[in-house]
Amino acid sequence: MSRTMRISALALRTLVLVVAVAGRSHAAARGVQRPDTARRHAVMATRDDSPAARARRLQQLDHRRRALDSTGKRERTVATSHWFTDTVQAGLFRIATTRRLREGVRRAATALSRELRPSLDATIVDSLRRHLIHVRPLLPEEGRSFGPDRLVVWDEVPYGLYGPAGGEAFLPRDDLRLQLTAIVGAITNRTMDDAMRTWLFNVSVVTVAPPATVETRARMDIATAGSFAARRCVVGDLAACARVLSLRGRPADPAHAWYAPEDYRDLASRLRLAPPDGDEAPRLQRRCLTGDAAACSTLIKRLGPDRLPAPTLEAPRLVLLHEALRLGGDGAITRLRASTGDIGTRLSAAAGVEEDSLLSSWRRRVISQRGARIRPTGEVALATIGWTLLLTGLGLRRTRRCD
Amino acid sequence: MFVAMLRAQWVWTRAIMLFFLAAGFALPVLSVPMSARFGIGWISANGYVEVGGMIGLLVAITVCLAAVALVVQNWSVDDRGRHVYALSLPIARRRYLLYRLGGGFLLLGMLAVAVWLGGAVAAGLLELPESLHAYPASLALRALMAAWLVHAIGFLVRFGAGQRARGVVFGALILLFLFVLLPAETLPAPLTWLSLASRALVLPGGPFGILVSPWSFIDV
Amino acid sequence: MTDAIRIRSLTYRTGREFALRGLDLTVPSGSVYGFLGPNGSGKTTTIKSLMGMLPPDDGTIDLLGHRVPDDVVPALARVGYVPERLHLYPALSVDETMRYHAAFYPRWDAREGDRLKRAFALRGDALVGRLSKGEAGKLMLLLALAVRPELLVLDEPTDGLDPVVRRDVLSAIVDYVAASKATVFISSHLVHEQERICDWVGLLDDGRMVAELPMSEFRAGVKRLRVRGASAPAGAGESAGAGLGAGAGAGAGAGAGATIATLPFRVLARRTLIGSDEEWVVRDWRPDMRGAFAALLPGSTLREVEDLDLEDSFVELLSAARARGQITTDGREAA
Repeated sequence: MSRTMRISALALRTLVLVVAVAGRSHAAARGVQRPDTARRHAVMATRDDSPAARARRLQQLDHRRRALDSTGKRERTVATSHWFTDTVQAGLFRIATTRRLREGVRRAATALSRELRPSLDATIVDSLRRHLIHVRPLLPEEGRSFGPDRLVVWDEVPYGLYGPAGGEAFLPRDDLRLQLTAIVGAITNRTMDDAMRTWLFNVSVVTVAPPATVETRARMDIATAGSFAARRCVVGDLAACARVLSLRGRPADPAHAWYAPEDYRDLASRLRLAPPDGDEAPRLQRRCLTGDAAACSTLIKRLGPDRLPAPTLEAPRLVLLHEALRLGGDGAITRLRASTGDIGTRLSAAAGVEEDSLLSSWRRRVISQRGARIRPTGEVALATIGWTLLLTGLGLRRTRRCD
Repeated sequence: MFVAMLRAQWVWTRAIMLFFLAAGFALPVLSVPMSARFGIGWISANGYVEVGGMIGLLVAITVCLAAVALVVQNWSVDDRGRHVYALSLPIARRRYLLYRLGGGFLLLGMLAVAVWLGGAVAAGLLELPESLHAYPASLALRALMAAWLVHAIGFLVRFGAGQRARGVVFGALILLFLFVLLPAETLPAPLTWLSLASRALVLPGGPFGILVSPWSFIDV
Repeated sequence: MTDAIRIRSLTYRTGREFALRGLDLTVPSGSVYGFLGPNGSGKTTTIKSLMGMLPPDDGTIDLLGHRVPDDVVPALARVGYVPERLHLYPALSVDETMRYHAAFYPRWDAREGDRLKRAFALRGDALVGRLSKGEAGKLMLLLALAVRPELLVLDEPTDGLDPVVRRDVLSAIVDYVAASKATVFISSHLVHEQERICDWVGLLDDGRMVAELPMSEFRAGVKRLRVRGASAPAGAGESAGAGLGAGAGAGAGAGAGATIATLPFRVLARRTLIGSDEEWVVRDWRPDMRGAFAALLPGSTLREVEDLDLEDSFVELLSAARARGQITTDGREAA
C-alpha cells in the first residue's frame, strides 16, 4: 500500500473513531444533558411515594439513563421494556411511542409536517439504530420520559439541528418549538390560555425542556437588554427581575420601572415613530441619537408610557416558565392553567413556591454560569489537549531521514 | 539543549513573533476605543457584547495564523539545509522534534500571555455595564489551547507526512469543513454521514471544538 | 586495532536506481582515509548513510563501534562532520552558531573554538547566511574540530574554495590529526589534494568500491611502462583492468612461454603506440623488475618506467575497472 493510501486509511479510521466517541459523548451529554435531570423527574414523579418506591424509581431511571448512553444498550433496553416499540419519523424528528399511540402520533406528525414542510410525510419506522440522538424528556405533566403510554420526542441529526456546541441553531428557534408543541398538542389536545400565550410573545406552550442554547440566549438577553432593571436583575435584585419580566403586568411607568436615563438613547433608536407623534418627535429622536441626553428624556416623556417597548426577553421568560413547571412537578401545568391573577402569581402557583424562590431558582439557572460561554469547558479543554498530543505523536512517527 | 534550541528558534522567528505578540496585546485593547464610539447610552450592553465577539474572533484568527506561521518558519530553516544539520547532531530524532515543538508551544504561550495582558489592560479601561464583564483570562486560555492545537496540526501536516499525504490531508480537511456548513437534511443519504462526521469534528470532544465554540472577550 | 568505520555490503536505492551497490569499506582507526570517486559515484550518499541520515536498504554500517542507524546517536557525539554544502542556520551569527552547536556536544572545547575562530579570521557577529563560501567552509570545519572528535568526516571540504582557504583548511585538519591521532575520512574528487594528506585511499565508482589500499602501495605500485617488441600472448587471466587488492600477478614465472598473466606485476592496460611500441599501465611494480624485465618477458625491451601521480592512477584504475566489465559506462553490470 502506498504511503498516501496508508495515511488516508489512518485518517479515515481516526475519523470513524472520532465520530463514534464524539457521538457517544454528545449523545450522553445532550441526550441526558444534566445527569440529575433523571433524578429530578424521579423526585417529581414519586413525590407522594414511599421512600422505597422512590428509591426503586430512581434506580430504574438511572438504569435508563445509562442505557441511553449507548446505542446497543438502548436497543436492548427498549426491546425488553415493551414500552417503546415504534418510532414515528416526522421531518427531523423521531418520536418513540407505544403501539397504542402510534397511529395518533403519526397523524399528528403528518399534519404538522405537511404544514411546515409540505414535501415530508410522517412514516412509521421500527428501528432505533444508527442514529446519534439526544432525548428530550417532555414536561412532567405531558409525558414523563419513561413509562407506558408515554412519549419520548427527540430530534434526529442533532448536529444539523443545533449546530456546533454553543452556536446558533440551524433551524429557527420558534420553528422548533412550534413543531414540538403542535405534535404534542395535537395528540394530547391541550392548549395554552391567551394570557400565558401573550406573555410568551404569542408562542404556544413550551412542552419540552429548552436546549442549552436557549439558556445561553436567555443569559445574553437579560444581560444586554438595554434595560436598567435587567442589569439590576443580573446582579441579584429580584424585585428588578420581577419588573423586567413583567410578572406584575406592564408597569404604569415603564420609563422608570424598566429603563434609566442612560438607556434612553438606545431606546430611542428602537422607537418607530408614526405621523400621530407629530413633527417634534422625529427631531427629538435625531438629536437624541447624536448624544443630546436632554432630547432623549424629552422624547421619552413625550411619547408616554404606552409607546415604550418592553425589554426583549423571550428566552428568559421561556426558561422561567419551564423552571416553574419543573419545580412544580406533578400537576404543575394543571395548576398553571387553573390559576388566576398576574403572571407572577400563576407561575408561583404552578411551581408551588414563593415568587422570590422561583426567581432565585431561575436566576441561578440562567445567570449562574457567568463567563461559561467563553471559558473552555473541561470537556473541550481535555479534548483539545488530547488531540494536540495525538497529532504531535503522529507527527513524531517520522523516521530519521533526509527529506 | 532545549534552551539552546529555544534561543535559536527565537532568533529566526522573532520578527514574526514580535508582530503577533503586538497584535495579541493590541486586539483586546482595541475594544476600548471601539466601544468608546458606542458609549453605554448608545447601543448599550449589546454593543459591548458585539465588540467583544469581534475582538474574540480577531484573536482567534491571530493565534491560528501565528501558530501556522511559526510552523512554517520553524521548519523552513531546516528544510533549506535538507535537515542535514539537525540529523547530524548527536540527539535522537524524536527528542529533537519534541524540543522544537515544545519551543513552538512556549512561544505560543507567550502569545497567550500577550492576549491576557492586553485583555487585562482593556478590562481596566472599559466602562462596562454592571451586567457584563470582561474575561481576559478565559480568552487567553482559549487562545493558548487553539494555538497549540493548530501548531500540532501544522506540525503533522508540514513535517509528519510526505508531500502527497499533505495534499490529501489538506483536501480532506477542506472537504470536511464544507460539509460542516451544509445542512445534513439537504444532502442525499450517503453524504449525510459525511456531514455528520464533519460535524463531529467541531463538537466539544472533536479536534476543532475549541476553535468553533464562542470566542468573545466580553460576556455576562 | 578496531576500525573507525566498517561498512559491509551497503546497498542504497533511490527510486529504481541503485546509488550504492554492495559497498565494502573499512577505515582503520587513526588513519587518514581518502575517499575518491568521480562526481555522482555515491560518495555523499555513502557519507550520509554513514551518518545515519539514509537508512540502508541492505548491509551493515558500524561507526566507532556503534551500529548505524539504530545506535548512531552516541557515535555522532564523537564525530566531527563537515558536509558538502553549508548546512548551518543562516539567521544565526557565528557566535550563536557556536553556542548552539556546543550545546549538543559534551566534548566541545570553547577555547579551541575561539582559537580557531581567530585563526580563521571569522567575526563573531557575522550572520552565517552572509558569510562567503570560504568563511562558511571554515566555520563548518571549526565546528567539527572544536568538538574534539575521534573521527572527522569531511565531504568535499575544500570544494569551490580558493587556494589560500584550501590551504588553511587542510592545515587545520593536518594539525588536528597530528595532535590528536584522530581518524579522518575525507571524500573528494580533488585527487592531488588527497595524495598529500591521506594514508589510505578508497576508490568509488558508480556505487561500488573499485580499490581500497594504503596510499604508499597505491603510489609506489602503479607505473606506466613503455615496452618495445612485446609479443607475449595475453594468456589466461589477462584483462584490461584487473582490480587492485585482488592480489599480485600470478607467479614469478619468467622466460619462454611466459604470458602477461604470469608476470609478477599486474597489467592494467595495454595501448599500442607507434611501430611495435606499447604503453602498459601496471600495478604491483617493484624497482628490481626493471633490470629483470627482459628475462621476465624474452624478446621485449623495457624502454621507460614512468611514475604516475594519484590522479593518473585514479583514471587508469577506473578505466581498467570499467573495461574489465565490473562497471559499464552506463552504470549497468556487464553480462
